[in-house]
Amino acid sequence: MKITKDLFLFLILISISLLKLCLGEINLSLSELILLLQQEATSGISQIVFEIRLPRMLAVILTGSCLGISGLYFQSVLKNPLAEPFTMGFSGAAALGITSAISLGFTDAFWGPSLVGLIACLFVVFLTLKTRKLFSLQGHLSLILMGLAIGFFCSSIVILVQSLLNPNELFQSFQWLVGSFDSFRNSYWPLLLIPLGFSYVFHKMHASHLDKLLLGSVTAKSLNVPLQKIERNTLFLGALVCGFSVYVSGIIAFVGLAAPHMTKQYYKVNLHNQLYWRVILMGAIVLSAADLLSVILSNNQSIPTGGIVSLIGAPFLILLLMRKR
Amino acid sequence: MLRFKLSETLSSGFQLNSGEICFERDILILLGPNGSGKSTFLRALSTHEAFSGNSVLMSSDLDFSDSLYLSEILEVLKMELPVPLLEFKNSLQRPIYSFSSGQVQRFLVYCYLNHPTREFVFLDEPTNFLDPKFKYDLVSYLKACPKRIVIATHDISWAIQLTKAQSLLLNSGKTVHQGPIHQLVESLEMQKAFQMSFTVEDNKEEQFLNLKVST
Repeated sequence: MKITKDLFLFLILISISLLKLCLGEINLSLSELILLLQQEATSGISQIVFEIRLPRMLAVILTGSCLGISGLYFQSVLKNPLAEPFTMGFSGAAALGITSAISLGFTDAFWGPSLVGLIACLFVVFLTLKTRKLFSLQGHLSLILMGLAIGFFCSSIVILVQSLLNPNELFQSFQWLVGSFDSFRNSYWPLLLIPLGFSYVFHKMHASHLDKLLLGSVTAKSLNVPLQKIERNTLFLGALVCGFSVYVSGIIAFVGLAAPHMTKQYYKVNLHNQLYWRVILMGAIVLSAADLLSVILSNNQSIPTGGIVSLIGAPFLILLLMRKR
Repeated sequence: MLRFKLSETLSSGFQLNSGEICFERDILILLGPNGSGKSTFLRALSTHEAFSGNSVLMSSDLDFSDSLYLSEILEVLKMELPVPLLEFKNSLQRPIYSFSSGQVQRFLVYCYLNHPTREFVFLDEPTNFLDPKFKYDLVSYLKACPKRIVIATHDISWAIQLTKAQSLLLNSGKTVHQGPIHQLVESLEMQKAFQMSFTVEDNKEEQFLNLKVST
């Protein structure tokens, strides 16, 4: 039963991915694509497919997977269905890092805004944990509120910094913040294997703990679940996911929120051993579908994927809330 | 017999001090007015070195994930469906939110009482939401249960049905009295803590003991 569902999702992902290799400014048919795969000579079209479309496809799949899986962990650990890395202060921090880098003139794609964004994300983890310890705050609610506070605080500073930028820099910062897969930075996709690898280690370490956490944190604690360690690792995973996804795309909301919910609804499971790979698959599908839509809708002006995701996202979220009641 | 010392200052500033406790019978009941530290005491017990790794605590604040399926609860606890819950056999594929609070309460209480590896079971307000029938079923089940059980409850008239249980009286974060449940309920310390007096009435014609309360 679950295997047929797995196969179905897998087929969807493969068809979306193939479509994305075919579609663009120059459209190919499937047979033409297969012909291209057999050809060894490098023509212009094969360059487009292998050097632009393929990296973009991989970047989208990996970003979606990372966002989905870290969303799952945030929701399980914080016991909050709305939790996802970008609602936890990381998006604000990443945006702040990006904007300040641009305002200071660091615009190198690798060493500039992305790196500062990643560092800012890691700094949020440090700040959250230190503040919690300093004021001996407990419980997941304090963690959420702290994330929100840091996020809003950073967003305010972003607006202040942006008011100092010249139009050219402002446009640049907009392009970084909006979350699009339209640049050569897609070729940084292997970086996303870092957070994905970390999520696998996390999964091996904590899957059974997270299952026990579903019984309530008090009960989980009595069953020797190391709550603080899990919270720390979840935050760290979130920072890695957000930080590295900034490298390829910028800030993409909603996938981390939706993919876990969609997976749970579709498979009717809650245990993490069964969810791990499936949420990864679902995250990849959600973002790939949004990216496909963005490719189809783009004419001369490209439409950022990050924008489209939320366009589908908002109605979905409302639907989700209606189902819960 | 287990003898241990419990003394803990919690981050909220609440000081828990129970001195030395003898855990000699199989059921220990914690009584005390609201805010006396019953739940805190249970939580401290479950992480105390004497029990850590060998106990499971059922909290009264219902913070489990309500989308869990009953079958998944059993899977997490690595156990089969316990005998008192056989009526749930055909609804294991339903999520928690589709049941009433009382049904969920009963399901969880019996699951924890049948936990395959943990010897100590700590229950915080196990009778919450339960119908009278299930409350008294639970009494006879507890009396025969092989686990060592600590129960925090405000339901004194239910607690006195566990006639052989040992009990602790808490007030303002301290244990003020301990002894067999009936003696403790009728004690002067109990009267002081609750500002009312209790008498256990054993009417031989009725199945259950009666608690007489006067202010």
